[in-house]
Amino acid sequence: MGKSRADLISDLSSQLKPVKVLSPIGPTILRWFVPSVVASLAVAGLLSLIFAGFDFSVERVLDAKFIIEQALLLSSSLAAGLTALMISRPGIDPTLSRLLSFGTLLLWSVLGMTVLDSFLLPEFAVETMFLGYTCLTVSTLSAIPVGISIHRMVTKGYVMNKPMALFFSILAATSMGSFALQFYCPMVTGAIKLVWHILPIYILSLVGVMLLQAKLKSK
Amino acid sequence: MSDKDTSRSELTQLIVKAQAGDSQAYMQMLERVGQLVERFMYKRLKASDLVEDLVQDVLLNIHKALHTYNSEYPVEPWVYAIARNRLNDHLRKIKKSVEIQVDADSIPEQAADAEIRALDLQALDRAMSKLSEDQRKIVTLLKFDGKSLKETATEMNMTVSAVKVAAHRGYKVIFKELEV
Repeated sequence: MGKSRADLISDLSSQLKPVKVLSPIGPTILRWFVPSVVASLAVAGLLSLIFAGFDFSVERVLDAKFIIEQALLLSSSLAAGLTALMISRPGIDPTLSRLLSFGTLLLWSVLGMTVLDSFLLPEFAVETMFLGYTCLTVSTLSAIPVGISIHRMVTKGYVMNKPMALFFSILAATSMGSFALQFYCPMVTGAIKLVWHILPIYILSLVGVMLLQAKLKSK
Repeated sequence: MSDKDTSRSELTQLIVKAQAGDSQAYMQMLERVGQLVERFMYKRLKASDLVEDLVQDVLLNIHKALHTYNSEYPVEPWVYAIARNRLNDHLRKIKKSVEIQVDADSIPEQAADAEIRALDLQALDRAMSKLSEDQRKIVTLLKFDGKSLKETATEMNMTVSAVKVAAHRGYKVIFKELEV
C-alpha cells in the first residue's frame, strides 16, 4: 500500500462519525407508497374542484376496466419507486432491479393496450383532445409532492445510476398522479386517457432524464 | 467455514463497527477494501498509477456511502458496485475526451492517450477485431502509429472527413465492445 493511500485512510478514519444506516428497501418504499396514495388523492381531489369541477362517480369507479387501469397504474408506480431505490443503492443485486424495470415497462404496455381500442371511435375528435389539458395539470401537480418525497428517499444514499434513478422516480410519481386524477376525471374515452393520462407520464420521465443528462454533461 | 467466508464475515463486522463510529475498525476495513478494489481495478486496467488513483477515489466514495451498507447483504457486491461506478465514470471521461478529439480537426493522434493504452489489451484486440478492415487500419494509423488525419487520409486514399467519420464509427464500436 502506497504512502498516499495510507495517509488517505488515516485521514478518513480520523473524520469518521457514527452513521445512521439506511432502512432496508421494503419498509422504505412502503413509507413512501402508502402516504403518497392518500396525498395524491387529496391533492387531485382539491385541484379537480378548482380546475375542472369535482366528478367522482361510483358507477365509473366500479367499472372493471377502470379497476384494471387503476391497478396497473398503482403497480407501475410501486414497481418504479422500488426500482428507483434499488438501482440507486450500491450492493443490491442488479439482476433483480433490471427484471423489475422490465416488469414495470411491461405493465405499462398492457395498460397502453387496454385503451388502444377506442382510438377509432368517432367521439375521439380533435376538439375533445384539447379538453385534456386540465387532466395534465391536475395529474402533474398531484405528482409533484409524491415526486419530491421519492426523490428525497432516493438521494439519501450514495446515488448510483443517477439518470435511471431519476427516470424511475418520475415514473413512480407521475403514475401516482395519473392514478389519483382518474378518480375525478369524467373522461372515459380510451384514446383521450392514453393521450392525457398516460402519455405525459412517459414524456415527463424522459424530459427529466434528458435535463439531468444535460446537466451532468455540462459539468 | 472457508477462509474466504471468514474473511467476508470479518469484513462485514468491521463495516458494522465502523458505522457505529469505531475508527480503528474503519481503518482496518478501508485497508482491506483497498486491496479488494485494487485487484478489481488491476484486472480491468493495467496502468498501476491509474489503479492507485482510482482506488483512492473509491475509498473516498466508500466513506461517503458508508451508511448505505446493510449488513444483511454480502459485502463484496457493495464494494464492487461502488468501484464499478467510479470506473465507469472514468471510462466515460476517456470516451468523452476521445470524442472531443475526433470532433476537433487537430487530433493529436501521436498521443494515443495513455489511458486508452492502459485498457486491457486483450479486450482491445477483441474490440479491434470487430471493426471493418478500413476502420481497423484507420484507428491503427491514428491511434497507434501516431499519424495525423491528413497523413491517414493520404495513405488510405480518402478525404479527411471520410477518415474522421470512419474513425468515429470505429471508436464507437470499440467503446461498445469495451462496455465503456
